[in-house]
Amino acid sequence: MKSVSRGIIALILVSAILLFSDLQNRSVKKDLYQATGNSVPRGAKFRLCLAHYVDSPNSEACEKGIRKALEDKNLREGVDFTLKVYNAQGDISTLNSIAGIIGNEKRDLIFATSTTTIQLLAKKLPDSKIVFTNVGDPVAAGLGKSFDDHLPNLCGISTMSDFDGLMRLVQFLHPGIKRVGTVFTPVEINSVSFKNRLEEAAKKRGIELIAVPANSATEVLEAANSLVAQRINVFCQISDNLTCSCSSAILKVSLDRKIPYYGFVTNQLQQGAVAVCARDYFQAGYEAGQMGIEVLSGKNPAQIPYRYVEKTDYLIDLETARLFKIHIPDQVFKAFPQLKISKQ
Amino acid sequence: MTLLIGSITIGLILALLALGIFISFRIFNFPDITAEGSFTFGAAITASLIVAGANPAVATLLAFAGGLLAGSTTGLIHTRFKINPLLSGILVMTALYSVNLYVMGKSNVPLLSRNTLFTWFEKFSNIISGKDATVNLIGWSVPARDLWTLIFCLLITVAFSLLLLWFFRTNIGTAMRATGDNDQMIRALGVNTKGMIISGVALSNGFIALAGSMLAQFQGFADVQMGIGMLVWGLASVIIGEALISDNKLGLVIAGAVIGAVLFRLLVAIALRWGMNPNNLKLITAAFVFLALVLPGFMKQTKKIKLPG
Repeated sequence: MKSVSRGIIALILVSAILLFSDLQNRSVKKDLYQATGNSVPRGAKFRLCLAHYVDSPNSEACEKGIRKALEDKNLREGVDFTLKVYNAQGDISTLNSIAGIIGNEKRDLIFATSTTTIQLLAKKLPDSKIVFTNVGDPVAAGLGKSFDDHLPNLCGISTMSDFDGLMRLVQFLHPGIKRVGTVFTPVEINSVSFKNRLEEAAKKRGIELIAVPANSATEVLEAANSLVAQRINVFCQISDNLTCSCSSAILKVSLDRKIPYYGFVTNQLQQGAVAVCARDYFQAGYEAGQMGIEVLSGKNPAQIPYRYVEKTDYLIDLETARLFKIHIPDQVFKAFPQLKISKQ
Repeated sequence: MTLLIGSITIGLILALLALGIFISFRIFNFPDITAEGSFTFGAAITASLIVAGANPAVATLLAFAGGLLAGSTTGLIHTRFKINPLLSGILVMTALYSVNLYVMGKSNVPLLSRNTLFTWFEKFSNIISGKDATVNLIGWSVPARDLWTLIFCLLITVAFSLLLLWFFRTNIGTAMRATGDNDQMIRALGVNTKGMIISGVALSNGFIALAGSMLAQFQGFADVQMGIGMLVWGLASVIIGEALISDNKLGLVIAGAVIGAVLFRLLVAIALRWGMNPNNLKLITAAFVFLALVLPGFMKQTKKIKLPG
C-alpha cells in the first residue's frame, strides 16, 4: 500500500501546484473582463490569446497579420492588450490541455489559426468569443450551417482557394482554351468540394474540367497520365492533402508532356508550375485581426458572417512560361494588378 | 480549479491509452506501434457511427471491437508470418491510415452538435444539479457539468482497470502474463503462445481504440492525424507510473499506469499555465518526465544514506 500512497501523494502535490498557479482565478469578478461600448475603449487592457495547432509557415504568417492589424489600430502590446500565444506543436492531447487553460483564463477574445484548433475550441468554449483564420471550409468543419448562420460565439476568415481567379488567369493566358484537368482525392471531403467548385468556375467560362480520381500516392502519377491521354490543355491542380504532397508527380508529367501546370500552392512554382493563385496568409491573419477588433468593440460575433480572405497572391514564373512557350502579354499585369513575378 | 478538473479528465481518458500500451509493452514485451493507428481507428469508428445516428455507447463499444481487430491483425502478422513485432506494428499502423480515411470518408469528422457520451454526461448534470449550475469547491466556482464529466470518466477508467485486473487473474490472463515473462516455460506447459500474443495485442489495441473514441467525443471531432505522438505519451505515462509505484503486484502496476497518465497531463498543464514560450513546450515536458523518473530513485538513495545498515 505504501507504494500506491507515494503515487497518490505525487498526484496531490502536482494538483496543488496547479491550483496554486491558478489562485488568481479564485472567485473572479465577471464584469472585470467584459468589454462594452461601440468604440475600442482606450486604456482598457484586453486579454487576448492565440492558439496554434502546429508550427507552419501559414499559421505563423497569420499570427504576424493579427499583430499588424492590432498595431494599425494603435493598440500597443503590453499597454492596450496582452496576447498570449499557445502552440500544441502538433499534439492533439496538448491541444485539449490548451483549451482547458484558455477556458480557465477567461480571455476577452481568442484567435485560432487552424481547423483543428477552432473545432476543439468551439466545442470546449461555447461561451468565449473566438475569431478563426486559416480554415479552408468552416461549414464542412461543422462550425455552422452557412457563412451567415453559424455558431453564435465564432466568426472568422476562410482561406478557401480562389477558383474563379485562377480560371480567369488561365483563360487570359490561353485564349480559346477548351479543357483543363485536375487530379482529385475522393476520400477527402475538401478535395471533392474543391473539385466541384473548380468545375463550376470553369463551366462559367465555357471550359470543361476533366477530373480523375486518385486514392494513393502511386495512383497520382497514373491519374496525371490519364489526364494527358484525355487531351487536356493545361493542369489546374486543386490542393488537397494527397495531391499537395504528390504534386511533383503531376509536375513531372507536366514538364515531360509540355502541358502547363497551374496551382494554388506557392511552393509549386519552384517545382515547375507556370503560375499559382495562392491565398495570402498574412492577409488572412490581418483580416481576422480586424474582425477581432470589431468583436472587442462590442459587436456580437453571431452577427458577423464568415467570409473569404480578400487578398490573393497571383505569382507567375516567366522562366517556366518561356519553357512552355506561353506568351505573357503586358496587359496581363493590368488585368491582374496583384500579379507578381516570382523570383527564384 | 476548472483547469485541474479538465486536466484530470483528459488524463483519465488517456489512462485507457496508457493501459493499452502497458499490456503490449509491459505484459507481453511486445513493442507495438499499431497504437497510433488504432487510436485514430477508434475515433474514426465512433465519429462515423455517431454521425450516422448510432447510439454513442454502442459506437464506443464498437470502437473497442475495432481496436481488437486491428491488434489481432498485428498479432497475426507477427506470429503467422514471423515478421518482427516492430515491423508488423508499422505495417498495420500504415494500413490503418487509409482505413481511417475510408471509415470517415474524409480527413475530419465534426461532432459539434451530435449526441455523444459527453453530452449525455452534461444532460445528466443538468437534471441532477440544474442547468448551468456551478459548484463552489474551496473558493473556486466550477461548472457542475465539468465535475460530472470528471466523475463519469473516473468511473469508466476505474471500471476498465478493474476489468483488466480481473481478466489477468483468470486462467487465460495468467497464461498471458506468463507468455510475456517466460514463453518457453509456458509453452512447455502446453499453452498456445501464438494465440496468447494475438489476443494480448488485440486487447491492448482495444483499450487504445477506446481511448481514441473517448477523446474524439470529448473534443468534438475525429481527425485522421489525431493519433500522432500518442504512443510516446502513453509510454511516458506507463514509465512514470512504474517509477512512482516501483512494485510489481499486478493491481498496483495497473494503478500506476493510470496515475502516471493523469500526472503527465497535470505536468503538461503546469508547463502551459506558467506561460512559458510555446516553442519550449516539448522541451519542458521532456524535462518534467525526466525529473519524474529520476526523483523516486534519488529519494530512495538519500534514505539509504541516512539509515546505514
